[in-house]
Amino acid sequence: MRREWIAAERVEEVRAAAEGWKRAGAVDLGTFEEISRRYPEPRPLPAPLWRILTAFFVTAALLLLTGALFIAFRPEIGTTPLLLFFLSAVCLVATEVQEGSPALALRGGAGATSFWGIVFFLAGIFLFLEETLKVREKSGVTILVLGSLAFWALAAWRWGSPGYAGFAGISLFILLARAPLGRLLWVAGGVALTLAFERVLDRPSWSPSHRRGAVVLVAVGLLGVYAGVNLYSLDHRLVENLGSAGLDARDPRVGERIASMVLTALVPLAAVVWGIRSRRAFALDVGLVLTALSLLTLRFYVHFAATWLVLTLAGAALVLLALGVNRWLAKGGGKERNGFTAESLFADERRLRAFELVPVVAAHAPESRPPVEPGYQGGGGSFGGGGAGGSY
Amino acid sequence: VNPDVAAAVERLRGDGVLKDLPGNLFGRVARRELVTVRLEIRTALYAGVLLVTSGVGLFLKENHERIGPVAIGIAIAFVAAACLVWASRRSVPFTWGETASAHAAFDYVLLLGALLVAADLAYLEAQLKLLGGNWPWHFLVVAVFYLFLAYRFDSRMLLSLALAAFAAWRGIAVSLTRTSLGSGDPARLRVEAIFSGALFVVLGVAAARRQRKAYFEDVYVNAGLLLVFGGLLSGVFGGGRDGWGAWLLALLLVAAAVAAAGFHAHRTLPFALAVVAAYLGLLRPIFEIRGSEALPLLFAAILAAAALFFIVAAHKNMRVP
Repeated sequence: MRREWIAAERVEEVRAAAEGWKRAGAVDLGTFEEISRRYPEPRPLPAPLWRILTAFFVTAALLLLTGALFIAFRPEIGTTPLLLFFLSAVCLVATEVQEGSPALALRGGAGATSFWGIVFFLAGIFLFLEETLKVREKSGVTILVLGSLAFWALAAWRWGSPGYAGFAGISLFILLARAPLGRLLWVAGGVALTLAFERVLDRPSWSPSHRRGAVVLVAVGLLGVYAGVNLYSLDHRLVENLGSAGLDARDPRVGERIASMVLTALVPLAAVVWGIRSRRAFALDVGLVLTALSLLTLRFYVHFAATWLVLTLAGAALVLLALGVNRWLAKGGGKERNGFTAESLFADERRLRAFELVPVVAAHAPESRPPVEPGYQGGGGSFGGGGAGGSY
Repeated sequence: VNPDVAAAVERLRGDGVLKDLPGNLFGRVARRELVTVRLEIRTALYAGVLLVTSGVGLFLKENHERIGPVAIGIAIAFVAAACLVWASRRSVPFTWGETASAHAAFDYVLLLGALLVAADLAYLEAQLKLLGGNWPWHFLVVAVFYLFLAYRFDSRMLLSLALAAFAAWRGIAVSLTRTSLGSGDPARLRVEAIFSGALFVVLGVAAARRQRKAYFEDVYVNAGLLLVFGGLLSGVFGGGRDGWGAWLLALLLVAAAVAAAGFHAHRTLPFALAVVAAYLGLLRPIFEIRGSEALPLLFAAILAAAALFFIVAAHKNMRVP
């Protein structure tokens, strides 16, 4: 990242925090304006919807133009990589131009062009290996994944996108899965990734977007470790299948399964404990997700009750646990305990609630009534209509 | 830790811009000495409600013949009533203004109660055939019930579900997991979608103008526009070879009107919906072009680029974040 981009990001962090303080009523308008004057907006930052809209149209224009070029020129399979490399270069140059212009940097277009630039480049590499160099499929895919790791990592470093850091992390684990002892490498690689990037999460010299990228990589590392040790993953050879070695892989030994059982329980617990001790909400979130996955794994192997009972009890337990934690925190001095609070602090609660509407409507909206057929006499139809979400 | 914000807070406190009390709190949050878990608690509550409703649904499916509809109906009604009574006791008195949730679990217990009542109603209707051939009317009953709860307890979540239930009564599935315009006669559903959507938009505008739960406007208007544009686009792409021109004209007129209104009212989502709908609609005549296969794609790309310039210019002039 260029020095001026990092400086702009630091100012944007302070402005975003000040917006939250103002929204929560913690500072008055005069104070907010004074902060805004001291930290003037370095680059126009449109709301997320504008950025999504821009990215949508940039993507549409790029893909349609690509399709038109391919249809118009009908390149031979051998020259297709050249066209893809050309398109990739155009996209990457366009990204640099946009990132370099404060007026365009954060509009959403740079994200779209950089993404498609890398995708075109990787597609070009794949075709070049397969069709021009005639590299064997297994080696070709390995080189492609290696390229994917390198380019996403470089893009994350250059443009500071946490999403690209995530793609790089995923590429790393796919690459490790293709190596001998892939599962062991997943665990070792996951631990290494977590430890390496945990050290820089708060480092002031890193730009804010690089720190966010580090958060993503730590989360990917934890998920990688968990996928490596999970009993379901071991029994179903999920890692080995990812590396195309699933059929050749031997069945797990008893000792491996016992270790896997223990670690399936311990890794989520460790993540939760780390999240609580370090007060890192993302680590806590990852730990909670892993805990849910471990409970699902347990349910897969141990059928201790009917599914409806498990679902109902689990739901009730979750609600009671959440209420209990909420109450416990609210009753602490200053509505906090050990540095945790259930208050919203300066988060945009209204926006969060607006986002909640989508899954609620998606999950609970009723099915439409069926068309009336000639001679139909009714008779109650099927239930689930009143928002019950499907059939019983 | 957010070192940039932590350093800025110290600087602002030192310069006297931030007073000690808020400055101390901002600094603690930036240094991660105080962390909120509100999102985690809300997510757990919502997931819990989802699990309970799924469990109850499965229980009904597996046991309704063994236990009998009356016993099941009473049991669900009892749990639903408990949820609604709990919510009622913790709610603030009714007001036409916006109210804050009295409890972290309020929205979710209310949602659980409402969903259980709706499930109970649907179950009893399916078992006892109370409405006979008119059974789709129970969607309307559910919609009115949700709407009542939405206004009484100030819940945008239940308002969304009320609109979805109303749309279902008119034969339109709003859920993402099902077909967007339900099943049946597409021509009728198109008209239903357009009129239902227009009704929602009118209700939203009226709510804002009359200051009656004015902040419900977003839910009404956005849901309404989705239905209107969905219906018009369905006409453009599914209206047959001859009739699509009229549908396209109607779509472009509505999109222009909505975009203009959104621009003047500084409303981003209606503006965005109008631009995307107009773009999608214009793809139909472009892909009717015969001759070169590449030409339609090229024109569609040029149209996307034009839309891009349009939205960037609009954003600059709208003066919104």
